[in-house]
Amino acid sequence: MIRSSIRFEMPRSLDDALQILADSGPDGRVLGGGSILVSAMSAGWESPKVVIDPVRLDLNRIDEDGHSVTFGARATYAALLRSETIRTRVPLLHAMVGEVTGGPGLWNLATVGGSCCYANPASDAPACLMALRAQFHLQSIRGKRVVSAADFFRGAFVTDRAPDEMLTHIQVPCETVIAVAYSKLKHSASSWPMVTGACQRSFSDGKEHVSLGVGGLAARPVFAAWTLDVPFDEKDAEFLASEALAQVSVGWTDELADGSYRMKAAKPVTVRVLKRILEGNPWKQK
Amino acid sequence: MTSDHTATSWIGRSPSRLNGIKYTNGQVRYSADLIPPGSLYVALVRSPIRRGVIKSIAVDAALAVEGVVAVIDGRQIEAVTDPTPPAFPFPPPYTGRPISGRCLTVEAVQYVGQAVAAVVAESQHAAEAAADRVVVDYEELDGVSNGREALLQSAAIVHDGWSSNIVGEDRIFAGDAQAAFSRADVIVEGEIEFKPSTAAPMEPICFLASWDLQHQHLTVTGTFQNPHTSRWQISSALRLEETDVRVIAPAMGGGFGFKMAGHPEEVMIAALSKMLRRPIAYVENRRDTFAGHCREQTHRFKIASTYDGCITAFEDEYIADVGVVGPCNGWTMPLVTGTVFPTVYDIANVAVRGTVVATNKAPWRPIRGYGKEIANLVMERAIDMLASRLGVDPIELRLRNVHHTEALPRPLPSGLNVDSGDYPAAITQLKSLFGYDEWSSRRDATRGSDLRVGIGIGIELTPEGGARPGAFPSGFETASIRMSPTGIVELAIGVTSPGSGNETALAQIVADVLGLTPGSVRIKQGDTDAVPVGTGNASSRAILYGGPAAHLAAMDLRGKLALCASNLLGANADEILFENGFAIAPSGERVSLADLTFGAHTKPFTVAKGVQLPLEATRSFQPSNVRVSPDANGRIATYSSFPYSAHAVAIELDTGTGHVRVLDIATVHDCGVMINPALVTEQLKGAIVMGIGAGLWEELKTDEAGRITTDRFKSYLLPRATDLPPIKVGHMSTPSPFHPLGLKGAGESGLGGALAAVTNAVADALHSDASTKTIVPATPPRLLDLIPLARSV
Repeated sequence: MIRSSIRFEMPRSLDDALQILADSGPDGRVLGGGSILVSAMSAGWESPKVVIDPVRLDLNRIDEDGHSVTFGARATYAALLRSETIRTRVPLLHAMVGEVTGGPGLWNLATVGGSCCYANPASDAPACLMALRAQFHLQSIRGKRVVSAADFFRGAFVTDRAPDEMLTHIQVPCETVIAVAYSKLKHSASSWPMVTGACQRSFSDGKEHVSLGVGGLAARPVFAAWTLDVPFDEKDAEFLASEALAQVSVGWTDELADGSYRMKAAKPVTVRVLKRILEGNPWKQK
Repeated sequence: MTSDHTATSWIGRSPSRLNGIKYTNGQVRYSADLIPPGSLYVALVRSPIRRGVIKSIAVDAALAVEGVVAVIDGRQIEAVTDPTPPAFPFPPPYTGRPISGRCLTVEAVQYVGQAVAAVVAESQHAAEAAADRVVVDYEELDGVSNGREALLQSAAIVHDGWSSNIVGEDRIFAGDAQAAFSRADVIVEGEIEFKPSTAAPMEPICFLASWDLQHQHLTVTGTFQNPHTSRWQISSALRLEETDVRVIAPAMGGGFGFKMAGHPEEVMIAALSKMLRRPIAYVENRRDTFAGHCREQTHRFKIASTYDGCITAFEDEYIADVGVVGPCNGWTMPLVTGTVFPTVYDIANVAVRGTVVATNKAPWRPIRGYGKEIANLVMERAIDMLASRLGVDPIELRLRNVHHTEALPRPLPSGLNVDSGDYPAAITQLKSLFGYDEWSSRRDATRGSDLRVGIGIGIELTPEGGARPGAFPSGFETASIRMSPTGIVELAIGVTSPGSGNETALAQIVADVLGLTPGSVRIKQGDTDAVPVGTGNASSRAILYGGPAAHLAAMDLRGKLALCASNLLGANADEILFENGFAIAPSGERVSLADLTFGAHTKPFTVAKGVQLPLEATRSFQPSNVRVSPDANGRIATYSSFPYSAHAVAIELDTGTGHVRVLDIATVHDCGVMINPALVTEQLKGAIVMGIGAGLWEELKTDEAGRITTDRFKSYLLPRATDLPPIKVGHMSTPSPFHPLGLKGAGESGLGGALAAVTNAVADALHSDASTKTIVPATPPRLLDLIPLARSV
């Protein structure tokens, strides 16, 4: 039960929204879809005095300019899953969104932008956007800036976004994709992910490239990338996985699993997504 | 079933559920839907520590919150209430011992989450906001955090007035287990540690109290599984006459034992309403619902056999940690556990030693299975481990050792008298239904791979129809039937439905006797002012006890109607048939029951000549297979009925991650005669899902301070539909010779067998010799720790 009165704002312009956010100081929160913030308020974990709903700010658009796809921070999972642009131009994102559980009640409400700003290590989006080398567009009354995914996710529940900044868009470069694979390990359908693996094999500058994001394993997503200078096949997945996972010495611990479990379980999850893209399979879509 | 039991009988059929449409389209009103306008709301200030003394409670900041009416602490409630009496009394030698019976604690706290003060406000928002502002100063004391600690000489004593933390002990023996173990060819030992879990009903508890100042009468509406028990507890605690209190239990969103009588909030809400002279509502939040833990038991067992697999002895020693003992009967569950051994097996030498201890944790809330599921798990794990040691197929070992049908009825070592069954036939049917040979081949083919198939068997015996002397109420149920002048049949009965639909089966029984349709029979349940005294919902008794009570009452009514029809149609009363709403004479002459009853009420000197009006009857049923006189071992038999089931589960274990996927589930179930097979089947499936969930995923975890960390459905993992395959169900029927309708209990059974089967399936995939210790639930982190052991076997 939300315990105290809140001022709920639905500004008509981004400038207005940013001004309200700046004026609210530490008491202001920006709503994504509400699946995290409203639950936290109901549980008494969050008690903001001002909640800004960016529903009127036209931040749910999905656009492509030939080099990249940009989607608004309010684009829901359902909207992203329905988008032909996402499916054809950013198939790894499409694969990730297609694996999000929770049912229509969540898909039609929750947003990738909100999930990224929450930066829960055990969530789907951050590692996938790391693998995609996404750029996060932030804006405040002080101005605009763009932060790479690698810099945006700074730790568990910590991002580079300042309290007076709003995430407006996420931009993902379009590549010539050869194969993608997204896989996540959960205890059961109702649990959050223990480990996620997002992997893309692409072609540019006459070479093949592999990028990998591993989520859930550590406080922030693990990123690794390779250029396939020499012929690779699925047997090399073990080696690449070990190389990527060597970046992590302490696994993330939460109510469902401790760090040592995640350290052990991450390897097979990572190997499996790498194998799938190294097999040269077409885009994996479920 | 009736004297004219014909092809049109409603017994064994599955008509549409009464009120099924209303449940489906949201027209049913649950307790929280019934909060009257103008009610006050309560939020509770709960202890954040395990054990301590309350030094002060500062309420000024809370009282300053707009809308707050009062902040009431334990002292204020103590002035107007007595401790709530326990629903189940302590067995000797501890009879009469004090329990934690205060609805708001006074002076000290005994567990994290114990209610210290109640904030009452005009809205739930204000109450919760103000509760956050109540400042309680505690002097923290060392508490008892687990069962092992509780038994140490140095342990703090959880309950004032007790000399130790032992809640109860039971020692159950048959033959000479020690001698049999010393002579055994093969002995297998193991350990099972069951972590805490909970029932997680869809609807949390909710109570609404309204004190009528003018009539000095209290009405409490809410999630009551045992309305009459709660009425007795509330009236006792509030120093009221029982008849000054009315308890109403509307439609319920799942019970599972969780809503059995004795929640502190039942009395608290009633007392607050009386104190403040306003209607008051308490709606439990989900986080507090998770405080209702149970099942925490550790068993060490030993099983012996000959080389050819004849089991000669079984021994089990267990400790159960039931937390604080309050008015609710959750703490009695582990005392039932020991009484079920050695379940369906013919084992001459048995020794069971159970010890139940109190710790500084919240009181257990009852749960489906009621401790019996854990006995079945332990027994089935022992059988599987023995099969593995002997190199005998687990099904074959079971077939060699189960009782045969002609051996029944027979007593268990605990004194319970098992009624009927055909265990070999159930196992054989299960083998075929499951496709045991095919699954065995698939399992063998994956032995060395990363994704291993495991298959597990679990045979379950579930004593039902509990009738413990001294409990309120105990071994009977009563039904009152009446027919209105216009022919409406209404059955008022002391059993309640937790949402399971038993009212439909009761209506079938009545309809069958009177030649009506179930839809035309009105069932009244869950209102202490409108139904006879009864237990409500517990131990699969709605149809097991309520069914024959309804049948007896309906037969009495039918006798009166037959006399009326005899008067009207000129036929002998015992020749009158009742079909399709008519009373029919052998000549074919007929009269509708509506006309007949209207005639009886308007022409009593002719139509009702010789009939004792009104057209009503009240009858009770008491089971015959209960024994209250001690046997040679000093034991009584408090369960009358013994449904059983045989389960098989196939899983796939990912040896890289420890993840388990359930591939197949099959169950053969025998509850004797089924009134409504669809209701039985769906209840059974629900029990199976609970068993699988308890075996694989459901676990309540706490931090070092004892605070629950798995307090939402993202961290307390219930099975979802996508986690489970379709469940294949086969039914058998060996009617109970002790029951007038041949029934055995249905509704609870199925949990322990599924739990055992999935646990055995996981062990099979691991290679069952990998560890002698089984921790339940078998979560992926635990399994991943065992996989290196399994690889080395």
